[in-house]
Amino acid sequence: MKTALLRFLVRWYQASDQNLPPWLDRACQRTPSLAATLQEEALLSSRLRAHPRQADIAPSPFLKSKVLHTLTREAVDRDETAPAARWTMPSAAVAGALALVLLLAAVWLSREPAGSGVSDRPALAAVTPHPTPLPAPVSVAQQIPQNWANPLDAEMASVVADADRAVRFLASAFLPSESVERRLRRPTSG
Amino acid sequence: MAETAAMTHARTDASESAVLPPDGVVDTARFAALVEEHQHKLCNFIHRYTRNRQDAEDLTQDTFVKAFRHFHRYDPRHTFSAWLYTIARRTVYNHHRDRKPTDELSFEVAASGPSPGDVADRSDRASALWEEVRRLKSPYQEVLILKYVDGLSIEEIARVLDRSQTGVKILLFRARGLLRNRPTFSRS
Repeated sequence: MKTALLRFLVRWYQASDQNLPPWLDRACQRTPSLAATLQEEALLSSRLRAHPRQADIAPSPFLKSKVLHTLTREAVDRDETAPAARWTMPSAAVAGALALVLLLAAVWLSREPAGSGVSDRPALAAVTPHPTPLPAPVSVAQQIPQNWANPLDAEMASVVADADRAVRFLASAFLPSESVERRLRRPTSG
Repeated sequence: MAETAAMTHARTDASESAVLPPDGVVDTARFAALVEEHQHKLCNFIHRYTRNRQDAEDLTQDTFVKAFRHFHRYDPRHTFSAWLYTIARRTVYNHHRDRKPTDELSFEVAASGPSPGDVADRSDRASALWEEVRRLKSPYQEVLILKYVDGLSIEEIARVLDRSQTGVKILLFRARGLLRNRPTFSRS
């Protein structure tokens, strides 16, 4: 079984045109049947390599000139078509670009203005003076005079006085005089 | 980079390295030298498929024109002849498909008949063995011819036949097994 496997490997390596690995080479030296297989394969390879001259055909002596003629003709055709392509491609590109520019211009000119405020904005910006810079921040406390009275305090005092007068009027009109005096005095004394 | 250059010189034949442009750009004059060098082998390679001399010459011409057009695709790590064979095989198959799409294209060894010199060598065991090769199926013939007549490596054969390297090795293994079992293969 092992010899059969090794024989298969010998034939595989010979068919693959590879040298036998050392371990297989040693096995061939040890085993006569493997050595015979190796010889048989080497003989087959040598006979295949010693192939008889094939009944070959000699190509026409004009084959080379025909090939070169074809190549030259192709080169000439390429050169002849090249100038046309050289002019056609840029012309098409320029025409396309011009058409695109005209289309964009037509679209831009035909569109409705988005709004007067938007459209006037540049004009307004042109006539609006530049804003004056803000004065440098100054401490408010430094500008208040010493005898300054808060007008809100005076206003509150007058409101309170009016309310007091209204209460006294209502009390004198609808309550007995003693109780009025007493009730009106109680909060102030308390 | 240096390794690539070394591989290039290792893989290409001495004659090819003298003709092939080192810069990968080929002009008509340089290509004319390549045509001169490879036309015979290429024409015979194609003739094995077409078995018609005129077709073989026409397809050889087509192959060279295609090679010139697509020379920038040539990988200098491989031999120029293997690259030509790859183009030629595809050209032959396309040509055959356009003309006879239902027929299967076969590959034949020495189908145009043996030369007088070959007749004299018939007693030779190698000749007898190659007669057996002619009786094998087309893929076996193809791979044996490319390996032992054209001298391509397994990798190059794989590229020409558009197969994996393992697939090529299997084809070679089976073809050799078939030949080994033929009575004409005598061990003595």
